[in-house]
Amino acid sequence: MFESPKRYYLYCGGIGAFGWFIYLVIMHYWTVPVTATFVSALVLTFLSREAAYALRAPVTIFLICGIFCLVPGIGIYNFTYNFFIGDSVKAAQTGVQVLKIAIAISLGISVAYEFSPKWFYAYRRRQKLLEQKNK
Amino acid sequence: MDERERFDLVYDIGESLLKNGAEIKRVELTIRHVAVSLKLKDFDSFVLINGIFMTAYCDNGMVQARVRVIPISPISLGRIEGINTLSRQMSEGTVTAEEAMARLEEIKKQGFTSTRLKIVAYALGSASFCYIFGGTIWDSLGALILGIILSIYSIFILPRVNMSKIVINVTSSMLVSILACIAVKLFPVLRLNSLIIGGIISLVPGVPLVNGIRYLFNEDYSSGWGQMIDAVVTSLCISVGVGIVLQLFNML
Repeated sequence: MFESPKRYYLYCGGIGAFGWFIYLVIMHYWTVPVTATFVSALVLTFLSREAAYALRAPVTIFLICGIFCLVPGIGIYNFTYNFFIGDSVKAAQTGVQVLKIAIAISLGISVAYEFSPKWFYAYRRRQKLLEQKNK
Repeated sequence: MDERERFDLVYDIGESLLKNGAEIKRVELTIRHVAVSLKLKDFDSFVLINGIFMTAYCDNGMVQARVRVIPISPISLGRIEGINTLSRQMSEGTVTAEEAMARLEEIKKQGFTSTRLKIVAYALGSASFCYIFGGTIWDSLGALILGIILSIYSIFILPRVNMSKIVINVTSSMLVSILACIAVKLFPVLRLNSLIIGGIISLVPGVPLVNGIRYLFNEDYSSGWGQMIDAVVTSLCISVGVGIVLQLFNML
């Protein structure tokens, strides 16, 4: 739906599935939606950046596809739906929940973006190759 | 190539990136790199979620400037990737400005997903999200069909009728909920709630909301609010569509 090139489908799917798996595992043991979302967004962004370095493609491709499971799409729908049918209490509840989850995801992404490139396997390998070439 | 054309090329690249849903930071970085590679002097840009401002100095002492409003539009990752590769090659100096121009035109026209594949994506997305949000197998099957119908509506019918985004969202969600109501009337096994959630999942703006908050954290307040309000308005339109149909359905 986001018109991603076909050769990246498998990577996007794998990254997304892994993020959702982490979310499910954390939710199974602790039931803390916000923390679970934060951790899986962190891991997702890390994996996306790894893939981006390895395949020389923009991070956005893997990130948007991967994060699709986590984003509170239905939450924001529930919020506006309750708002529309006049159930203000429920609307406020879902709204705050959506905001929390969205902030958790964006914090996760921002933190993972701050990681040094040296932490990524593909980046290190490419630097090594460059050094060998220069020698 | 004279200065004016090079400036237009940079502008074109920025515009197509923004139009296809690239992040603000990425647009800014990319056009700065491209401007450096095209040797534009004192290049400055200011990118918003729905517009680009750009200035550069010319040799004859004049200042070039361009401003345009670009509506917030759906994401096309393939194009972003294409333009990204192009700009990297330009920075490395392997592509000349003329070649780049031709390549950009090509990328703009290129479609990355066939229609059939898109329909499959809509259908599978609807079905699997319906299942995640607590639907049964039968609900998922219903959502699969709803997804197919919604994709046909949005791919074949919507481009022909020139409607505003608000009307598009309201009518799409109304279509989904009307069909869901009919399905529930015909097959009482199905649950209305799961069906509707599966059907509208491809419409709801989850990614834009998260992106909006990320822009806010990047101290880009105007774009952040713009993106978030856009997400909330889109979602409100969807809810209005579903709400109207459900109220009517309950009255029957």
